[in-house]
Amino acid sequence: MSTATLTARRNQNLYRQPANVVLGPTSATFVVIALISVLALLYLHQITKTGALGYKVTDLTAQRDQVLAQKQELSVEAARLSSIAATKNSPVVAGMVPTGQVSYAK
Amino acid sequence: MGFSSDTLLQRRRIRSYTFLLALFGLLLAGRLAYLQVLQHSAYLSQASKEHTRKYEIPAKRGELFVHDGDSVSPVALNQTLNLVYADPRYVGDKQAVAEKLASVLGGKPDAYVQRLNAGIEYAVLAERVDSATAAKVRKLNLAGVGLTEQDYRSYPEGQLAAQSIGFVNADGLGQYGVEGYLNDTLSGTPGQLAAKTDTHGIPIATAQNVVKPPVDGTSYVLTIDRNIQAMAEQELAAQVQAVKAKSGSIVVMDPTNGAVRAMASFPTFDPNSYSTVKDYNVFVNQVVSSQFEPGSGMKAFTMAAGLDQGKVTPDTTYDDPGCVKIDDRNVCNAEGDKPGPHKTMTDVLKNSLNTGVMFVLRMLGGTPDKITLNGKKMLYEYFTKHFGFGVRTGIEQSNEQAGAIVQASNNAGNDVQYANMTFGQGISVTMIQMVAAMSAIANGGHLYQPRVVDGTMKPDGSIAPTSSKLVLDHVMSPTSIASLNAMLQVVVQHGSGYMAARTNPGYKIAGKTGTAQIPKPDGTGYIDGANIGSFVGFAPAENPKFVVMVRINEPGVSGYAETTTVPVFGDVCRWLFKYYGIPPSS
Repeated sequence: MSTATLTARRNQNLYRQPANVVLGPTSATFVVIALISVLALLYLHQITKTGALGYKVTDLTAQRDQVLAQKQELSVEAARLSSIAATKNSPVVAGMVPTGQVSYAK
Repeated sequence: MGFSSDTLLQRRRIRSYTFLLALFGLLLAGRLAYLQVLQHSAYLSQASKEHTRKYEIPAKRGELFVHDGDSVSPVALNQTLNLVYADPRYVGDKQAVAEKLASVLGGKPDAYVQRLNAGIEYAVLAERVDSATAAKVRKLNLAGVGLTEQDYRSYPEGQLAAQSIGFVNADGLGQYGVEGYLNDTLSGTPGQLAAKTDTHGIPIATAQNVVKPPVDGTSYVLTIDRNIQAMAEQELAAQVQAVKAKSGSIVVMDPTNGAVRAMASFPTFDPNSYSTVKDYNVFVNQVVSSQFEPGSGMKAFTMAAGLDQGKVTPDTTYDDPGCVKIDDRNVCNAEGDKPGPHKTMTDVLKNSLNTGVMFVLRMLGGTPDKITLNGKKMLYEYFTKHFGFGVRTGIEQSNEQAGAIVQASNNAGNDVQYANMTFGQGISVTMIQMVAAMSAIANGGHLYQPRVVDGTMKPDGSIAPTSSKLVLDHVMSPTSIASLNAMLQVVVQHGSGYMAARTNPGYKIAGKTGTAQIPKPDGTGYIDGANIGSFVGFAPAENPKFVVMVRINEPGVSGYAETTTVPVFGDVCRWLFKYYGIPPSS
């Protein structure tokens, strides 16, 4: 092996050293602030969402109450229409004939 | 090297300031520690109070149902309706507002103007406004006029069984009838919501909210059958008006278990508009709350005591003198009854002879010649212990009265009192007591507690039945009951109840009329010309399916109970025979 070849091999980067990344104090501070900001945003988002859902729940409860009130109204109206007094005054009953003497088969 | 005096002064000043600053810092730290550590709980609770509010979650009031043949039908329901109100100070042109309201709510504009003028800051313009009409009122956008939702009790059957059901007042409290008696269980228990609120006080749904759910009130199914009830009310109202009476009552009971199938009084009211009623007496269920002297209807129970004690039989005879002198008083038969010898006990009931039941009282004491303390004690025992007079029955109705029976004694006047009691004067009872006692005779001797609650309705619509309560198993011996039953049939076939027999040919009916004088309120005798007519009976006599009592108060026409009450009894029986499909006995 010639001297020139040996020289070239010697200059080759046969052993690679790992990159030694070290964050300085300023960078670390920024990273921590960024992380805290992201977490704060996430928290705020969740809180806002929960609050909005609370209003939605309140709205839905109000709607449910309204529907229940309408159901009550309809139930009462149905009962009123099928009451004895309403039945007596109905045109169907007006056309009926009262029963006479009943005969029983022995 | 020494310091100059100025430098020393400066250093001393700096040290003093440092000390003061440190002291101030310590004070601040101490105060902060006091507020945040020692007072932590107190401020936390104060903050929590600011952000948390407690709300009451109302419980749903239980509903009421009655029988409709084999099914059930509602008679008391809950409903959320609107109330239209106004603050007259902010209402501009009252006439124009009234006209607009009348066009939507109905009624005359003048009525609304009157209400607007009557109120200073708050005037109720309309109640029980449904949601559709409320929306129309909102659309009018009238200044000073507002709407608010309110919970109301609705009675879809209107006047039907009004006194038995009662009503719920503006404060949500049950009044009269079942609504009053069962108010606690019907009301339920309100729940609670402790919720975080926003700045407007609106609850926010969070995991920290504490909810105690309300317990809804119990719903009941009543023993009343609405078909029988409607018929009974119709017959009663027609008769009260026909005989120009002040009022009347009717009750129909199933003698096999004490269940009330119909109970009504006339005049009546509509519980939906109870606030418009002027005479509060119409709210009262006269069947359970009105004590009265029953008159000759009581003879059946006096005779029952004599028969059960073996002191008389249906064929036992006595000589009727027409009047009997007791102490310084003459106690006589009713007008028109002629004295005569050898009257049987059956004649006593058939012709309603006062002297005959006084004879039974004497026989209860062991001697036909005079009234004894033992005889009176025996009669008292039968009236109170065997037949339940003088004590409340326990029926699920508000304001039930017990009646009044004077105890047996040797006091002056006690003999006269007891002589009168044998034919239903000087004693007060209620109709429900009379019907329960007659049911015991009808069913072979079992005294049941009268009841209007048949069961509770579960949320799934199924019914958990309430069992009937037996008060006394053997009020009389079977043979004496059979004898009394036969004697009461004679009353209907040949005596004062003949009109019921005529209306129902082929049926065996048993019963007894009673026409009683009405005591003066001051206790100085009886009101001239005024009477209470009653009839209590059962049918078919051989296997009774129902007991009916009719009472007519102060009829405006002449005549006894046989003309005022028996026709109603007969018509009710005829209807019930068809309704239950009961064939005639012959």
